[in-house]
Amino acid sequence: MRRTLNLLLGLMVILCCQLLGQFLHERFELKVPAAIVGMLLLLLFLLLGKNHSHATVQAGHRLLRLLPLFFIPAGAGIVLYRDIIAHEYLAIGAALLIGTPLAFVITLLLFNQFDRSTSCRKGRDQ
Amino acid sequence: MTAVLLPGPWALLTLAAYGIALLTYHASGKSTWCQPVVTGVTLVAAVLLLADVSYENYLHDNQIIDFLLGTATVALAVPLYQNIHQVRGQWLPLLAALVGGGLWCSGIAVLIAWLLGAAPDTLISMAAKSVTTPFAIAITQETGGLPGLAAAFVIISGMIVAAIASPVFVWLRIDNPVARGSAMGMIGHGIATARAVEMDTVTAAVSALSMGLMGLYTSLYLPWAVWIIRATY
Repeated sequence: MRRTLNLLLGLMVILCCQLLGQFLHERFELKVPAAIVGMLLLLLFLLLGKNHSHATVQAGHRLLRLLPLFFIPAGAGIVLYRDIIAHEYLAIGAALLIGTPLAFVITLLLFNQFDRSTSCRKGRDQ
Repeated sequence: MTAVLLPGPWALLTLAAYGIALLTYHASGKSTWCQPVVTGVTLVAAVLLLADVSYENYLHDNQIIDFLLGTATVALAVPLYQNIHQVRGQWLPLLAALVGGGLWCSGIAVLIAWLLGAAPDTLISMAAKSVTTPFAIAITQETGGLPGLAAAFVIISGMIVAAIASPVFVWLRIDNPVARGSAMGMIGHGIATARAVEMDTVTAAVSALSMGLMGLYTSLYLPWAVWIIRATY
């Protein structure tokens, strides 16, 4: 009983953030997607109300377990783009196969670069 | 938003496809090349094409599931909140990797696609590939790219990162789990995060966190970038 109530409470918090995010998005014509405004609101809620976040965390995990299911309808939109893929498969393939590993390596190197500089500074301070 | 959110018969197709996809994924020993999303989308797309059903009809029946995608995207704040403490004193390198890696990830892919003659819509969808799928869908809906195409790009990028991560870490001698996790989450999103879970808990947690941060960062700057490009054309 208590667990179900907690789950309901958590879902209500998440849904409130989603709806409020949608409202703010439309009201102020924000460029940031509505769902992301909602996510920021939820993050704010979790950070501010640390001791009351348990129910929301549980409900969030329940929802996230089904996340792959939720993006099937949008993902199936790929059927609309058969012509684009047939025409631009070379550009798309090259961008993904070359671009992704390159970006991955660059991200790692950037992290290391700044990591070294911070550890050097710490060394000097000591 | 339209008033009708009731699920129609084609919502059953989505559920059945995902069920089969989950079974296949477990039967394959959770292989990177057997992602439930990929199998699920492929099955739905195959049925739509074979049965000659329009995507509009299918999506109309699935509006409730599409709405829940928004709800689950909001819920991504939960892993973000839970993993923030993992980063501790390494915020500077993480943010550097985020800002730089994000720009490079979108930039290189868009540049290569542009050089090889891709159309503007494809380019915008390619730009959104540096973020996890729900964000990519939200961003392309906002900026006028093609959500289904962007989702496919994101998933393929994730598979590539999941496949190359371990050899690249050995090659570049990356031992720091925070460095590993941030690159995997930022460039490889959900699928690479699933791979990070098999490595260790810190890598996995940082990967989940980085995925959320990258989504946030990209959705803050990309709509403006696209808006400026469209305005200049």
